[in-house]
Amino acid sequence: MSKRVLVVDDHAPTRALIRTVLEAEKGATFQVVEAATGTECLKAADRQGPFDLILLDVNLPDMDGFSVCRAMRHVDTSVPIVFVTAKDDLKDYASGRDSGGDSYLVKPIARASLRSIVHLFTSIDRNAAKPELSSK
Amino acid sequence: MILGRPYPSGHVALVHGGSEAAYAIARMLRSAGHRVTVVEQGRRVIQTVLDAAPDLLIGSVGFQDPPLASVIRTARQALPEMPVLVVVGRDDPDALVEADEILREPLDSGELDLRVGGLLRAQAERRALQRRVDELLGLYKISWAFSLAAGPVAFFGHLARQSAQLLKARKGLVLLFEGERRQIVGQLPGFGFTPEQVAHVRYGVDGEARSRWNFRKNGPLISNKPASDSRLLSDLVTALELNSLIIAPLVRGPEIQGLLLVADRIEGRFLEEDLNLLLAVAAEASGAVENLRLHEELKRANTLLQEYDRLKSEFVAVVAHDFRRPLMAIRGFAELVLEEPDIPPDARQEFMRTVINETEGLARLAEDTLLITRIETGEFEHRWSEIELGPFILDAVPLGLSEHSVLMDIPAGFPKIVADADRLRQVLTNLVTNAVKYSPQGGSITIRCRERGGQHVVIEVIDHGLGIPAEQIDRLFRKFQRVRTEEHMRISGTGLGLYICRLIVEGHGGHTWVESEIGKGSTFSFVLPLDARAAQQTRHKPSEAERPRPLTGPGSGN
Repeated sequence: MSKRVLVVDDHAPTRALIRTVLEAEKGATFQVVEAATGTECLKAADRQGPFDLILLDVNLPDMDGFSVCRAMRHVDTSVPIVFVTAKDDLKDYASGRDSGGDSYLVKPIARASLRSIVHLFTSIDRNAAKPELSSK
Repeated sequence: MILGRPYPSGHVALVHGGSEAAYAIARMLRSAGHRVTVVEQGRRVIQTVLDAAPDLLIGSVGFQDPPLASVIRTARQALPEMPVLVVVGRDDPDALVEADEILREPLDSGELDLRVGGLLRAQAERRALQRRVDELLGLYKISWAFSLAAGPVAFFGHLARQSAQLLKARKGLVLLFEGERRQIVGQLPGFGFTPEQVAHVRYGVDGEARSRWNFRKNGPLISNKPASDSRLLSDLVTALELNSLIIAPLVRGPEIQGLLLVADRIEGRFLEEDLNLLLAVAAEASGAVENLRLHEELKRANTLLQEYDRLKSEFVAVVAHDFRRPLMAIRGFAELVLEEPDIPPDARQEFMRTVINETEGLARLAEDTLLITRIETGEFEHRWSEIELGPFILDAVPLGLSEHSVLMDIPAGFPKIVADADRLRQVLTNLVTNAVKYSPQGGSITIRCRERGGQHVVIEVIDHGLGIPAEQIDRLFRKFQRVRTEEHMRISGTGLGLYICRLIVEGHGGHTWVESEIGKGSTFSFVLPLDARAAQQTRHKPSEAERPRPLTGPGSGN
């Protein structure tokens, strides 16, 4: 069964890389949707969801990734959101956690790390973890 | 009170039963220069004494209606400092009444004169002493206010009010000399003035409108009819409704810091001794004014330093981010190519192209950052050369990179200029690249060169792109500042390009500016001296733009 991943980054080569890495995976099938801004991310989550994982940049041109994450959490409390950012300030880690993110990775990420984190989060059975949401 | 004479004259109230003796005493006193009020028995005695408020009371024990003792007791309750001299009969006992001095009849005119004079002098001295105590208390209150002053407004208010109250006047104001603008400026809140009146107090110390009184040369000023006083600025006197005034300069070393003004609505209000008192206040206050000025300056410098510090950490954070971002794609694609033997050749080629593009971007960013650091720290040295602008621009502009048409508008026979060719190329490349980037609809880009005044050249890069909101124009040439509109945000940029342009142009002794209209396009312009090398000799340093200024005293720049 294919897993759906939303990649949010304003830097096109980064999006292309993540897409290429995920689509080259042999053991699993990933379907990648790209968004270049926070607005595009929220729109994609609304119209093309649900997703199994969101990889979210912080420095987005229209709004910061933390705000995007908070906005996402209003509509979906269980989708794993992993920040992938070049910001490595301690307070950014804290903001990432406080805004409802599940993990925080600092660029540049080795291909191996990217693969393992994507596999880890997409293999979580969301319905099992959050039974109260499983009825629908 | 005149203390120089041995026996001052004064006002004496005479409470005496026997009218003949009373008039004899009154005559003696009057001939010695005293004023005498004779109080007769039985008719509003106490009220008459109180109304007279004499400097001295002389009573005789023969006064019975009411008894002298009760007259003295009652009068002393209202006038506690008034001395009392009692005249007793030849055979009367001494201790009948409470008195400062006792004289026994018959009276000798010489002795009466001596006693009265002594009492009056003691009285005058006591009053002078009391006044001095009041003054000291006032000064004490003022210096106390200095130490408690919470910021300039509280301080100037205190100083103005205490100075006025000390001189029992209705108005007070502190005026400060502002060195940079060479102006005397009234400081809010003042005492007895409206804020509008205080705001009115602002005049230059040079030129026509200055006051004709030079405080540095002539010292303090006292004017009891300011309206017709040619030493003063008549419009200020009218605006502030000053009918008598004293001004004492606030002096620190050789510098005049400002002025302390005390004024009143009544003409002829001030005496020489008021001036002395205000000078004492001014001397006391000048130290506090200096401290306050230093404190404010320190606060300003501190704010600047904090701002500088904030900009620096922001710079580090942004640079760190911008350096890491391309690395992600570079590393990732390189790993893919290395680890995945099955990637088809054209995909492999595309990956490597991305790696190279990102590496180039990274190299540019490194160059930009290094250049900025070198210029900002003053380590940058220009390499001057003669440039023929027409061919130079043609060569510098990255033609064929986009679908935009680039037009050149430069008059024939344009003079050669002297500039740093590599840096000038960078300015042109940045401006033209921006023009292309922010004109997503295409269109033409014009580069126009014009000579100005035989000394300068103006170069404009004109596009028909997105345009810039008016309120964002001012910060465009600052570090990491980009136009923030939805359309601009879609286009990536570091926010360093225009800042570099500005640093380079200012390093050539020129300046940059931009005119723009939303939706119509922008014109980025810069002006350079025709010979930047020669112009540099007459300037001292490159751009100080983003550096905090060192502490400067008022007027030190003059």
